[in-house]
Amino acid sequence: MRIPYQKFTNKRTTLAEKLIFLVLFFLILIIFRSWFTSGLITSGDFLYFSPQMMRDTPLALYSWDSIISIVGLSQFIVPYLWIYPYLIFPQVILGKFWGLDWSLVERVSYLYPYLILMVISPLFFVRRVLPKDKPYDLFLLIFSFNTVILTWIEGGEIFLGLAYALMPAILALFILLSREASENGNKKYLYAIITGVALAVAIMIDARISYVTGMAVALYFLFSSFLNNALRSKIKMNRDFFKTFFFVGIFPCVVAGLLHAFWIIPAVVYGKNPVGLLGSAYASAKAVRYLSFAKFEQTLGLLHPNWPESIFGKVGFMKPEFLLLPLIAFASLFFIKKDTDQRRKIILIFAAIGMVGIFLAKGSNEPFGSIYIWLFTFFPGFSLFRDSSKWYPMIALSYAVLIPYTLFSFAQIISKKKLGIISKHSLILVVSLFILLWCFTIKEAVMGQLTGALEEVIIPREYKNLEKFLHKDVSYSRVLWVPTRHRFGYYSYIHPAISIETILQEYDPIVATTKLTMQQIKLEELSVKYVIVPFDSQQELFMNDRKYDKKKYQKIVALLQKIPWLKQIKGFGEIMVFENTSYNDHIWSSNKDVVYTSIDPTMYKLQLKNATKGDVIVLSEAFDSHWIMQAKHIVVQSKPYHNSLTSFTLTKNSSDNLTIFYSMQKWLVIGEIITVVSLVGIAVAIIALFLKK
Amino acid sequence: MKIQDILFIIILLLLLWKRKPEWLVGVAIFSVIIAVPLFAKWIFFTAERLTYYGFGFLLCAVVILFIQEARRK
Repeated sequence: MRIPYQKFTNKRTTLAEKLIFLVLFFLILIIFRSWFTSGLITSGDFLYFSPQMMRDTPLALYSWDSIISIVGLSQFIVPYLWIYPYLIFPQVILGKFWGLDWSLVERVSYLYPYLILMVISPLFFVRRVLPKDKPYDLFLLIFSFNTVILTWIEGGEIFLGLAYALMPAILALFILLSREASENGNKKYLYAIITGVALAVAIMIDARISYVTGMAVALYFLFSSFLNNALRSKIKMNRDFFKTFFFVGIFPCVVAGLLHAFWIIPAVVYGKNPVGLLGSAYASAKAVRYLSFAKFEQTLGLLHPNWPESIFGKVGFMKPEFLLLPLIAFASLFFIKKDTDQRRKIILIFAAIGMVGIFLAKGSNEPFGSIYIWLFTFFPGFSLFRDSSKWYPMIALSYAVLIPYTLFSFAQIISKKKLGIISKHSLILVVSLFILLWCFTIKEAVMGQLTGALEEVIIPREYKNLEKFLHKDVSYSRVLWVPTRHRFGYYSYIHPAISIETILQEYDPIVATTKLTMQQIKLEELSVKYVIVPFDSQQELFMNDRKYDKKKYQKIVALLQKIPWLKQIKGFGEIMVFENTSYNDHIWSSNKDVVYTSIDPTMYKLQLKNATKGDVIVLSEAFDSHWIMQAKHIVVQSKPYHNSLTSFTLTKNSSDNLTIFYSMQKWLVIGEIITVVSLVGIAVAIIALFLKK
Repeated sequence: MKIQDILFIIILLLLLWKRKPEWLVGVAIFSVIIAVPLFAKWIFFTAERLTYYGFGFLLCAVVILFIQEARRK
């Protein structure tokens, strides 16, 4: 059975639709023009990986990460592993095996799929869900080219953009599934599996937007049930109800859960709130209040607070033209009274979804901001949303349905008046006027003024030289970046990167550098051999009031040059490289020579001559009680070393080889097996259901 | 509570008593239309308040429309 879809060239193609697609085409060419060249695109969280870094990337997943610290030195990385397959597989397959440069890998794996999805996904929703007698293709313009998604893309939030682009398709799949769920036959199984896979893909790309999508789906069905009189006449707990609930509510979630077993199982076994592990900057109400940048009038107007510069913290004033959007959107409520049941319900449902989005996207701002704080603290899953702007997609979805309805209803009214040529071409006139208004709201994008991930960058030669230098040093040591690693800064399993901000818990880099003068022992224990002050080529590290401040860089360099135990290494232009004259290896003991082999980031084999009871062996990784040392007759639990590192105290004399391993890794392997078996099972099921049809 | 808040509550109660969602939508749109030039002139406090009221009217309109739709045979 083929999942039917309406082709683009069907009878509904009108002049207005052609105009819409022409405008979309030109907007893509103008806004994303740099994506069609060969230059490097990198900005914000959309990182860069050099050819060497891609060659160093293993295909396997590990439950412990110390290569690039998220919080502190290193951590149990499993709760964030959902994205790793999508992050790692392109690097390994395209970069490592095929030798492609990152500028090509990123286009093939992320940028072009985004461009395709931003058209196909809304089109799928329009063709399959919305009533067929009106051309709703304006949905694509409103959903895919608003200030929210453009700000995210400009800021390098490509993964967010991909998950956002998938949102209409996933909502459509759930709606189609609900229509099939109570029917007999195998279609519902196929729809349920495909919906589950789509949900799993969305979660893999961005868990937060997937949650927003799930919330939109849940609200759709909640409002739909109410409108279908289900609640009023008391939900009939009959076979049909349970069947629908199972196929729509449970089945896809189980499929998605099985496909994500590789991180869910170890995360559940570990037993700690993954957001809580990130610290108060992520998990506190204070963080929510700080990050609630959008004001109510901005969410109402579908205006991202950082539009158009996409600079963190720089919030613009309300632009009054954006208030025309909710006027047009909610004017749809005037026209639904005499319309069909189906259209009335759709408009009401999406109006309600939009209103929920408007309220949530403002975060803790007035009115009634304390409700959001309560939700963040107590409602399951809301702790993911310290940044409330992630709720904007619900508003975009809503307006993308409501606005076309208003415009076409208005055009219909005009067409019935005797206004000559205006009546005859009312639809094209109304659509044209709206397109002009829309283009005015995103005029910075239309004029090609957006930067960030929408313009190419060039890697300074100094960073390529630094990479060669670090790669040649084959012995393990950490690199301390002051204040933090530059996006072109090399890192690897042999030379993990740490930042002074996370090590010293001090976010003022000058204060942190001043503290560094007293931290020689700490750096020694952390195996730090190199201290690097980056050349801020992208002007994003040494900032003062959101502007690049070279004096900060100069001050930090001057402070480091005065430290007697740091020796400057010249030859890297404006990148200042210092070598620490004394540092420990990755695994060390104060009174014994340790020879070790690194099997992978979660396992090390040690040879320790004449190991005696009481010997302390330190693994230079953040303390975690799941690190275990084992030999033939010894099992040693880890203990904190100086409150920060992992250490083991031998409980008896031993001349055996010792193994240090991270015990959570086995749960990751179990989860991976379940994921792979599920993937194979799903593929077989889909093929079987297609053939059966 | 400011005088405009009291005015909003009075108008809202009147419109709820009338139970005509189109009137609520109309008043909501009117509130937002008035807010537009106020934002342009940087008269933010009143402009923001008007958007809150507009949303409040809209919310009531949507709730009434939902109830009417659910009761429709």
